[in-house]
Amino acid sequence: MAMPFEDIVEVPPPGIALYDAPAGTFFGPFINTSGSSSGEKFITQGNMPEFYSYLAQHDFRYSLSVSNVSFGDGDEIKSVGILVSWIENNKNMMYRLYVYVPSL
Amino acid sequence: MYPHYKTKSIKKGVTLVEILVASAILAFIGGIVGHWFFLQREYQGRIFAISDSQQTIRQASWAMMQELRTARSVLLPRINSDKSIRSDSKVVFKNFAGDIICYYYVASTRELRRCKVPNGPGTPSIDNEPVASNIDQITFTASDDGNRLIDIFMEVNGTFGLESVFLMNE
Repeated sequence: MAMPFEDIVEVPPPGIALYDAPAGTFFGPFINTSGSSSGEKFITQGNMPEFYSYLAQHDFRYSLSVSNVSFGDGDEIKSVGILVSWIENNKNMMYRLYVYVPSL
Repeated sequence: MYPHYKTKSIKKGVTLVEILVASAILAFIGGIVGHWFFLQREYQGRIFAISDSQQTIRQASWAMMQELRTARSVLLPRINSDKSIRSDSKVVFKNFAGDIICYYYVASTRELRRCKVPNGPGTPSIDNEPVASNIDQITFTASDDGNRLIDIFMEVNGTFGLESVFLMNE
């Protein structure tokens, strides 16, 4: 769940699913108990069946709302809104979190 | 004058057929109500079980996050040499006082435990009580270059918890 500063870009709703997340997204890869990238595991039906089912059943997704603020001299701050959405009892649910990410 | 007309006799009591019909109706209604109560109890039980699991996850996460957040540095896990993420069932770090702290999972007892190696004289000690019990799995993942970001993934009875801790002190 770490990402280079320049890669933090807008992800419009409905966003990216946490399950079957493509490489390079926040949840892809998810775990790696080996000593190299070859052992990285993604949240897939094959790798993590129970967790996958849980996320897929509720259709967990995340989207990002990114605003750039610059103070000059190469310094830059991104205001990042993290929106996690899911479906529970046929209702659309959402959790919001805002963080500031400095470029330095 | 009306030879075919007979005065109806007034019946008293109920017939066996009426009792059987009434019993069948009561049994049917009782069955529906009983089944509904059974479903409600089952549903309530499931809600309580999920609530207990979430509580276990929250308490365990909170305890570790408080200590990790103020840690000096994480010793294990650390990202691989090829910059890929690295996960482990234990996390070892140096706390703000310089003690070495380890949170580790014991699969045989499904417990999360804490061990402390004091900074200076003294012997390593394991906390008497586990940090959490009934844990199905726990994974600590280092995912950033500076080894300051630790993701905690936990499963308790089919309920999942995911937290991230960023070390403020390194």
